[in-house]
Amino acid sequence: MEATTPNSLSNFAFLTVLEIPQVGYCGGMLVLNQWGRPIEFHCSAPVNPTRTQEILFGSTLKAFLFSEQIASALLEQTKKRPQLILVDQPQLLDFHAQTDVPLLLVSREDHPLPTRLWNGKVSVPRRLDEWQLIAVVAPGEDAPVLAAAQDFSEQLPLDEPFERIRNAIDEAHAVTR
Amino acid sequence: MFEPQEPVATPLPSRPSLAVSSTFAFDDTKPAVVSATLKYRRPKVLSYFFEASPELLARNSGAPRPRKPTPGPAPTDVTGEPATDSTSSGDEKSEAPAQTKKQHTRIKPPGDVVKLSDRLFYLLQPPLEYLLAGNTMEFPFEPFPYQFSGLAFLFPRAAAVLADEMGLGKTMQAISTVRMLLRSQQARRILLICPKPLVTNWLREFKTWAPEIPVAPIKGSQSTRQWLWSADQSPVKIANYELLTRDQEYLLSQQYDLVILDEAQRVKNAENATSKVVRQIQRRRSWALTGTPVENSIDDLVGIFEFVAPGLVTKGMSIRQIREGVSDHILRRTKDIVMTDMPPKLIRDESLDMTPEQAESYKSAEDSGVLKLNAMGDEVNIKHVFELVLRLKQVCNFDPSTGASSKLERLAADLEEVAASGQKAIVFSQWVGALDQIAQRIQQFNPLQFHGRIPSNQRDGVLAEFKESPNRHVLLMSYGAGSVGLNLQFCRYVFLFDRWWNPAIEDQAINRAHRIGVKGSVTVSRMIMAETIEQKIHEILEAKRQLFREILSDNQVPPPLGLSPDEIFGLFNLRTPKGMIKARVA
Repeated sequence: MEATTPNSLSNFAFLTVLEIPQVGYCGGMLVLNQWGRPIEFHCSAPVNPTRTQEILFGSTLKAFLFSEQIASALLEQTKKRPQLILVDQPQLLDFHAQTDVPLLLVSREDHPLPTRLWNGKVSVPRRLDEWQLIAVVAPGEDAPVLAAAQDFSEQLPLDEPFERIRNAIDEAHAVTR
Repeated sequence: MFEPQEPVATPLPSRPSLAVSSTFAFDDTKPAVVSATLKYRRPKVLSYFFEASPELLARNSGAPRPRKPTPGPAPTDVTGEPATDSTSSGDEKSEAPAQTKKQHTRIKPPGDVVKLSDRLFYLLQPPLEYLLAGNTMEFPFEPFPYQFSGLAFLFPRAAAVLADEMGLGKTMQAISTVRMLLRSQQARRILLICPKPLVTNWLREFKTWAPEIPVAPIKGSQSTRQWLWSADQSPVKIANYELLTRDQEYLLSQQYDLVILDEAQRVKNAENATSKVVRQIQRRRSWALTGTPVENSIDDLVGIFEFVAPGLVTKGMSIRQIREGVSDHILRRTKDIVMTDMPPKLIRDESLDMTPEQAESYKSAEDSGVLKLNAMGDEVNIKHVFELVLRLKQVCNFDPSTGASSKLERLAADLEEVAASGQKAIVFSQWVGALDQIAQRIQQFNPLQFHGRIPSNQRDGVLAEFKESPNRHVLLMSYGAGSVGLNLQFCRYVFLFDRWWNPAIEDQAINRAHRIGVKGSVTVSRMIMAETIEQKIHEILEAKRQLFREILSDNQVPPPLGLSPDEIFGLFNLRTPKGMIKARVA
C-alpha cells in the first residue's frame, strides 16, 4: 500500500469492534469529514474464531481477529481512503502491520505502548486534555496526526464517533436478526 | 538301574551385537507431518455511502458569531430571573443557569423509517448540539437541552405532534426545525396554519429565531390572497384557520413539503369544515402543535391524528391501542420535568392582532384623540395624554361597541389548557369593568373575582374557595387588589390582560403567585396588542431595561423603570407650530 503523509487531514476513519454475546465480533468503520459528518460507514458481519484459531493464536487471538480479519476487510471497502484511523481498543494498533494509514489510539485510560512494531513504524504517546493518545506512524509523521486530532477535538469529543458506530452496529444487527 | 549322566552343556543363543555399524543408510522419506490449516475468509462487509451528508446543515463560511450565554434576557422559554424582575424584549423570555455539561442529543430514526440505510443516516450524524454548533445554524440564544430533544424529535418525522406544556417553546422548536429542513433541502414549501390572533406572533418569532427565512402571511383581498397562495417567493407561508374554507380552491391546488397546525386542537372535531379542508391539503409531512392534545376525550387526539397520520388511530380503538399507535409520533414535556434546575418563572409576551372591529375603533379613537391634543397646543398636559392612552388601552382590551376582543379569544384558548391540566390561573387587569366582561365570557372556567368592589368580608372566602375548589380555575384580580400578605403560591399561571405603567406593580402582581416556597414553575403571559400604544409602551420599557443591563451588568436586576413624562408625550409625537410638545408637570 502506498504510504500516506497526513499534511492537511480531512478524512478521518473511526474504527471499533464490538463483541456481541452469542453472535461474535462485529467491526464498524465510520469515515467522517473534518466537521464530523458521516461520509461512509462499513460494518462487518459477525466473526467467530475457530477452535483451532483459539488454541494456536492464544493471547494474540483478538489482535488477529480485530486487525487482520475485521479491520482489513473494512478498510478495503472504503471508497475515499481515510488519512487517519482512530481506534479505541489497543488490539487495533496491531493493524499498523496491514496498512500504511496512521493509527491513533484514543482512550481515557493509560495503555502500554505496543511492544512490536513493523515496517519501521514508531509509537508516540501524547496527552490531550482527558485523552491518552498513542500514535503509530512512520517516523516523523506524528506531528500532523496529533495536530489533526487536536483540531478534530475542537469540533467533537474524540470518543463521540465511537458511540455512533456502536449504535449503528446495534441497529444493523437488530435489523438482520 | 538309572545311572546319572554327565550334564551336557546346551549352547546359548547368540546375543545381538551391541556395536553399531559405522555405516548407516538414510532414505529420502520426509517425516510425517500433521497440518492444521488456519483457513479464514475475510468477513462480509455492509457498506453505506452518505454523499448528501456533508451538505446536511452545511457550515456557513466565516467565523461563527458567539451565541449569547443562556443567563440573560432572551426570547426563549424559561426565565431564571429573580422574583422582583421582569424580562426584556422578545416573546418568550428566559434566563437559566449556565449549563456546564454538554448534552448529546442524537437524532433517532422514527419507527416509520424502515430502510436500514435511512436509519443509519440519522444514527450516524453528530449530536445535534455539535451539528448546529458554530456558524452552521445560529441561534439568538442558547436552546435548552429539552428543546434540542424537541428538534431531534421533529426533524426526522413525517408525522409528529409536539404537545409540550404551554410556555416550553413549541414555537421556537417548530421554527428551528423548519430552519433545519430548509437548510438541508429536505423541505422547500412549508405552510403554517394558526388562529388569526397569533399570525403576528408567529411572524415575530420567525424574525427572532429564523431571520433569514422569508415568511409570507396570507392576507388581504381575495385576489391578493389568490396570488399569495400560488407565489413561490417565500418558502414559508402563514395562514389562519378562518381563511381555509374561504380559500379552499387556491389552497388545495398547492403541494407542501410540510404543513404545521398550531393550536391543533382546532381540528379535534374531524367533521367540521376546517378539519375537512386541512386533511385535504397535499403534503409530505404533517406536524401538529398543541398544549392540549386531549381536551375532553381521547377522540380529540384521534381527530388530530386524522390530519397528522390518517388511519394510524381510529375511533373505537382502546386507549391502550391508541397509546401504542401514537407513542412514536407524540412528544410531550411538562415544566415540572424539564425545569428542575431552573428558577421557576417563565415570562412570555403574547403579541396579538386586533379584531377588525377593534382595529377600526382604535384608529378612530387615536386619530380623533391626537387631533384634540394637538389642538390644545401648549395647554396640553400629562393628564390629557394619560386619558387618551387609557382610552386606547381599553379598546385594545375590548371593542367598545361590539365587545370583540382578540385578547379574550387568546385567553380563553390558554385557559382551556390550564383547566385541562388541572391548574389554576390569575388574570390581572387594571379595570374592574374589564374583569366583569372577562368573567361573563369565560363562565366555563368558573371564575372568581377579587378587586375593590368585592366587599372586604367576602374576600377571604373568595381566596379560600379559589384555593380549595377543584372546579375554580381562574381568579380575576385587579392590580390594586390584595395586600403584601396575599399568598397564591398554588397558582401556576398568571395572565396580564393589560399592562400597568410601572413594572414594579406588575412584578408585585406576579409575585402573588411566584414567591419563595412556590412549588413548580409559574408561567406569566403578558398580552400585548401589536402596533398599538401597548406595543410602544412595552418597547420603551424594554429598551430602558436592556440599556441598564448593557451598561451596568448582565446579571443585575434593573430597577423598576417606568415612563418619564417626555416619554409619555412622545407616544403620540404631539406637535404645535412651535415644534414638539414637551412635557410639563401639571
